[in-house]
Amino acid sequence: MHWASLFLDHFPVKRKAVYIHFFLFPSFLHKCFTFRFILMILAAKLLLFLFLPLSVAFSALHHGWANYDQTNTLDYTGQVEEITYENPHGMLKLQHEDETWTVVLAPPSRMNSRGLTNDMVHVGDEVRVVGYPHKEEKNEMRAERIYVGEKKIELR
Amino acid sequence: MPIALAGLMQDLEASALASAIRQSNWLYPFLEILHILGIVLLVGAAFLFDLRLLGFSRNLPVPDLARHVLPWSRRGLYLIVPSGLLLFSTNAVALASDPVFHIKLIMLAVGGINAGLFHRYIFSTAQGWMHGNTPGMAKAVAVCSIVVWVVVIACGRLLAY
Repeated sequence: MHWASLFLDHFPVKRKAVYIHFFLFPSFLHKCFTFRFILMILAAKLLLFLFLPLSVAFSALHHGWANYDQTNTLDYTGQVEEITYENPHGMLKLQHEDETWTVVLAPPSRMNSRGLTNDMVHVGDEVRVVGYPHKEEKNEMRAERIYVGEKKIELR
Repeated sequence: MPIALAGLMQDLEASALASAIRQSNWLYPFLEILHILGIVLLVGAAFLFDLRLLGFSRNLPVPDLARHVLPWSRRGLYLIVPSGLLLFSTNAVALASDPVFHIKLIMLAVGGINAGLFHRYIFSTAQGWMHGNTPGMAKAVAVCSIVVWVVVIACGRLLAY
């Protein structure tokens, strides 16, 4: 069988897009190992091209685990300026040496089961927070544990 | 972001429903579970259909497979869209200006158009390939669909806290 017949067999298809497509991806090419290899490389490059900007956006904007510097442990005690006991994770603003720190806590369900209930911390209370600073975001930290009064609550 | 849209987002985030979801111990994780279940249905079924178009399991007739898996893919949307809108409402202001969320929406649109074009121009006019090898055009659609859904899932994961 002449190779072109594989191509010409598709000619009754009237749609222009389909017609043009057969020039780009003739249907017999799927049997060619090299062509498949090239397609695979192209697919991999496409994925890389899409994910690179995504991962950059990720590191700048989100509270992912990797974005906090675990080699630098902060241990701050200060007044609570604001607290939200909400999903997806609680947050509090802590006054420390004339600066306000944003402290990322845990999801409410976890804090509740670890013994930190909604009514335990109020604005103006003094708490101690141990955690890691954000690598890019200034004055933001992820709390590993929080001390409320005599009580120590692990958040991770 | 236009001011009218920003105001709308603020109202949405401050609404009683969004606030209830944020403060409830179980509602937020429950919505996340529904959202993921929907993704499993939609993307799982779509991937299996895409793999058939790419040439796996050629003994399966394409129309039979389509009739079985694609309705489930569609039903996944009934779980994903409402739960997604509610999850969006809890953090609307930040999400609406997040480039990752914009990529996610654009990719969703691309996925929808891709599926629409496939059904309108390729699937409905198919003649000989229903029981064997598929044409390159169908394969291109399948690759597009797989890439789009992987990116949408990646964006979704990056958006979640």
